[in-house]
Amino acid sequence: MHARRFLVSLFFLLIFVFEVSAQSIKISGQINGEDGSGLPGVSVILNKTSIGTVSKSDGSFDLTLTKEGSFTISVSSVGYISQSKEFHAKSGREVKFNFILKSDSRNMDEALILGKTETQQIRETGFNVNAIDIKRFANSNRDINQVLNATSGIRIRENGGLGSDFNFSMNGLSGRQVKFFIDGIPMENFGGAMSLNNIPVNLAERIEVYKGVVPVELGADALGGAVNIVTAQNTKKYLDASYSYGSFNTHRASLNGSFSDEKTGFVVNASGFYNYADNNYLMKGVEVGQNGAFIKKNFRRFNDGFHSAMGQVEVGLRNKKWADLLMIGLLYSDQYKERQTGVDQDMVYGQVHSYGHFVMPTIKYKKENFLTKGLTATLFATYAKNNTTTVDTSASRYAWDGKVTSVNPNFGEQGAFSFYKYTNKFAIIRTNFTYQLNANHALGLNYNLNSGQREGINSYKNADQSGNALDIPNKLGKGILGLSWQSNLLNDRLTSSVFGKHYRLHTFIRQAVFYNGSGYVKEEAKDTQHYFGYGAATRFKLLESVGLKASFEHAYRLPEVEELFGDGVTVLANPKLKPEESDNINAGAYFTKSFDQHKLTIEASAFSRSAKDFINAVPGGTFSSYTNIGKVKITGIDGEVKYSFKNLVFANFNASYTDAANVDKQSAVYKDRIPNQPWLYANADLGLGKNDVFQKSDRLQFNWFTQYVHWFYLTWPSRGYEPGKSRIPSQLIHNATVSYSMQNGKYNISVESRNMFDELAYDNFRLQKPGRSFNVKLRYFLR
Amino acid sequence: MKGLNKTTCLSVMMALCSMFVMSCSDSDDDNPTVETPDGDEFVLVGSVTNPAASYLLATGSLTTGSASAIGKGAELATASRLFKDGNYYVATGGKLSKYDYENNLLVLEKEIPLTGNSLYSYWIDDKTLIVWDGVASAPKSDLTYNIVNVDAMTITKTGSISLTGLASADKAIYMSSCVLRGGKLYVAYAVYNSEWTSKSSSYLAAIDYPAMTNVSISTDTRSAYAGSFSNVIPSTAIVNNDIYMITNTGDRWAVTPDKPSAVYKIKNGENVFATDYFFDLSNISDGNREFYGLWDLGNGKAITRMGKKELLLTFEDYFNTDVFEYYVLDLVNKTKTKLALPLDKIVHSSPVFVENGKAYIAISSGTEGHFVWTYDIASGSLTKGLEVKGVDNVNWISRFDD
Repeated sequence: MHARRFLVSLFFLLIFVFEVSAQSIKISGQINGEDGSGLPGVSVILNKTSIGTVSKSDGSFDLTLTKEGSFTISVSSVGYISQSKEFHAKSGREVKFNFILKSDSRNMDEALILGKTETQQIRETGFNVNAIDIKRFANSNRDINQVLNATSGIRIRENGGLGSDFNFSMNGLSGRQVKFFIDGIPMENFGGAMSLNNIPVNLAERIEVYKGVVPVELGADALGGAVNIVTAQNTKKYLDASYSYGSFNTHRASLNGSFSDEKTGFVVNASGFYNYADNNYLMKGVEVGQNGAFIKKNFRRFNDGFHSAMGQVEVGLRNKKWADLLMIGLLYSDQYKERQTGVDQDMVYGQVHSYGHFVMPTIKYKKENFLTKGLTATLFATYAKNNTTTVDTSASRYAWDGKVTSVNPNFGEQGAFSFYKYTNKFAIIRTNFTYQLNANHALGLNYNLNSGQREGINSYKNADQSGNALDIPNKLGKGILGLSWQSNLLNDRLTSSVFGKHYRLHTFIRQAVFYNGSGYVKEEAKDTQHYFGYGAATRFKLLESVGLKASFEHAYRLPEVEELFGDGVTVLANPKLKPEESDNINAGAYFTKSFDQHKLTIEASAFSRSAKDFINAVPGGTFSSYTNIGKVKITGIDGEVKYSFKNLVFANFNASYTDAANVDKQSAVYKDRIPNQPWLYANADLGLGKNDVFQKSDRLQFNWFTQYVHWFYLTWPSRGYEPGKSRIPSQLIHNATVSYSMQNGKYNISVESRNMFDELAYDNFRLQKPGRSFNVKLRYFLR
Repeated sequence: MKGLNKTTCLSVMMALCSMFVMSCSDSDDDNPTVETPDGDEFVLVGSVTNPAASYLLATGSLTTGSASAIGKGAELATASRLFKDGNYYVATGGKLSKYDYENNLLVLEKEIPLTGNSLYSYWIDDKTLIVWDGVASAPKSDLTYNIVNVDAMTITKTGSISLTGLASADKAIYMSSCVLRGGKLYVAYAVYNSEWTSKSSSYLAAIDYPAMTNVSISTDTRSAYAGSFSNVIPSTAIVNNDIYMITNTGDRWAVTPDKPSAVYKIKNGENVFATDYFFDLSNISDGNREFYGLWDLGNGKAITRMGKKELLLTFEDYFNTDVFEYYVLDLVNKTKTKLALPLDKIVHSSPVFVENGKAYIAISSGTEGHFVWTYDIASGSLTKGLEVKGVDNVNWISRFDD
């Protein structure tokens, strides 16, 4: 209700006519690099005022002054030496500037503070988006997941150390409701080897987190939002190599580089990483049986090893007449993962493990002015294969001391013996067109097709396949077509995007099991469904430094094949299953202020998600099935404050509050807060650094990072006697990093400690996460 | 310009204010004070769904007042319904845990390790629990058992017996009944073949107790899957030392569409289903095979639940729709009489408790609320009693403490 009230206020605000004062002086200019090309994204400010802007894609900029006087204009940008000029502004006289900026391989932090990078520009669109600049974390040993976990509104719950299972939630919606992309390509079929819990930060340049309202460029059925990992877009040559060693015998290496030849236009990109960890952290107070009773002791984990590797090479051409970019690539990744526990830490496994690999050949094409001026086309295509094998063939039962307590020839460790191989072959085609109608209006068209087939076979001791899950492949095809219209009005003060999305879902299974009221029948089942979603996002700049945003989407999450048609054995078909649906509304404001060399940014957004028809499994015995059940109303607020001073101090604080309530009137727990979900959490990050400490062009940096998650109930809050209720206790975890770079970031060494005070931490009930750990990272970065 | 700035500021403040005032829905307590009769004499388990959770609700009376899960009741983490003498037991994953119940809290008293996977638990008497393993790797069918003295929490005997009927193409053995009579333990089980159905036959093993030797196995094909699909649902009645056992042929589990629901009889001193007795329930119910559970009323009578075919249309109807009727069966004369009760829901439930000439039946009705009805066995009268609030269904009722 309040979101609606706000939108009305915003509407009236927007219809105000802004008169331009008679006293206005126009300042304009052009910023070029030494090669004569225009430089976009360059920060242009008038010192000691709040007036500033950013250069456009062609390097031009303009400002408006409202009074005469003497000013100093400063321009600065990543990788360039800043320049300033003094001038005098007089009414009626336009002032024009021409800057040619020289390259400077200064470290990144300073530029981030002063410039309006691509990250900042994304923040200033109408979408409720967190744009995270990853370069800040280049010397840290974090994964993409750990960086995302520090963002407002996102909560990732992990079961253990490197490579462990995780649950990703965004503003109260989670799991399959949030979709992941890498450079706009959906990652949902990539398998465990390419998963956020082990991709190092060095692979990415920035991460865009869209909450609740997703632009058409990310074609997916994202009910809760989308995360887009953007890899290095740097066209200049570079090499980024790193290696780290840390607690629990963790080795991590990563290599990213690009080489291009300006004359021939030949480009080659390579990236890869390798992870290895024993994850043998200490489990505190776990039970072992001794002399007919159970006692609690501390033991190290012994079946939690993880290793993964990824390598990708792309070759191609750049800046040809027929293509701005044409790349052909091949990606290979694999992983091996041991599993230590079941759903709680009393279920100990000693030999359960899984492994898999993923192969993805790719082709990418991009051309501006494709066929006609103003039309930009990008294309991505692949046909890939992913498989995972889960092995549970041990009849031995293990305890926390690593010893076998008994042998039960009737069962494997998790249940029936299995050697289960799951294979997923799929094609992705993504085409994106943007047509610039004129300087202020653009149309966008995006089509994502994700189509494939999956099969699963349990080949334990040549088991009979006649009743096996997925022994005949089932098929799933998702086609998402999006059309958007973007406009810049009121001299760039108002941007808005209006869009529509069409979802087409095609599913096919050869042996779906139906319950028809007088028994079960197995038959071939297929279905094609269509849905139509829509939304809008708008941003209004009150001032250059203050803006308001509002966005809305009617979103869907399409059912998976297993949810719609079962798995042929124990999950029944439910062809009447509808997609999950939600009406998502965001409203926010941002404020940025630079003065002298201080910079302050404040962002806040309020959101509401009215979701229904959640797809849940109805459990039981031999059979289960999926059904649409659940109506949830989520409201909440995320806020973030960032402060920086020169390149000396950097501070960031964010907090999120979510109120997710059950609004299903048929339920006995109508209006209760949804259980087993964190609803209040905050992050604080402080960085202190100094250049030229021991020698010229070096840098010493210290970072302190703290995370707080408030306790929450495991089950419905209003039921049961409160003192006896299970809860996940509050967590306050501290981490610190010290890093030293030499020669402008060419050589780097950093030492990091996570969970410095060795807190006992849980994200999920009775599944301890690692205690205190250390690691050392060495990194070489050549530009 | 100054004037415009002020207006702008005011509008911004207004917009920001309206944005930051969140609508917090007051958490209503939708019920005023509930008076639960004091005492722990009886226990009910009520569950809420999506996500599921179950609550132990203790009450001093089943005939008056109300019991509520709102702010009361102890959370139950498993599907275990082993309540005896004020204690609650959980047998899972090779461990037996004993809890003491005191004022809405379950406090762990003792835990002992068990052999095998602890899948099926049955009371042999008020102090003895037998916990069985299961099978998931045909054709091995040695089932491990633990006989436990729950007072002392010690294992009296552990070992394994071999069952027959499981071929290498089959999937598993599911235990469906375990009852002691005259020095023998009668264990009924079902054999699941490689798909999801049960073999169309009943299996019965008779074992000398407490020696746990001399296993004799017989089969019967007049019906299938003797016993019940869950070890929390009783399936036997004892009449003059004869055992009467109901079968489970409904479509929720096992699926044996070619066999009727029926009641078998194991005569005193014998080890097999008597060939001269067969109470064909489907025959007197228009072919309905959805009978679940048998609760002994004494004197040759027992209560059973029957799901109405016309209402069991989809899989979810077994959980969320009011479909079950209650009948009193005369096991000797082979008749059934309907009880005038509202339709009940949820198949995985044991909502009948018999004591001192009365049967207490907990009905979870979507339209008429959740109440415990008292059925007077002698007079046949039905009286509405304790109300249960704050749950989506009530799925257990029994004695708890004296």
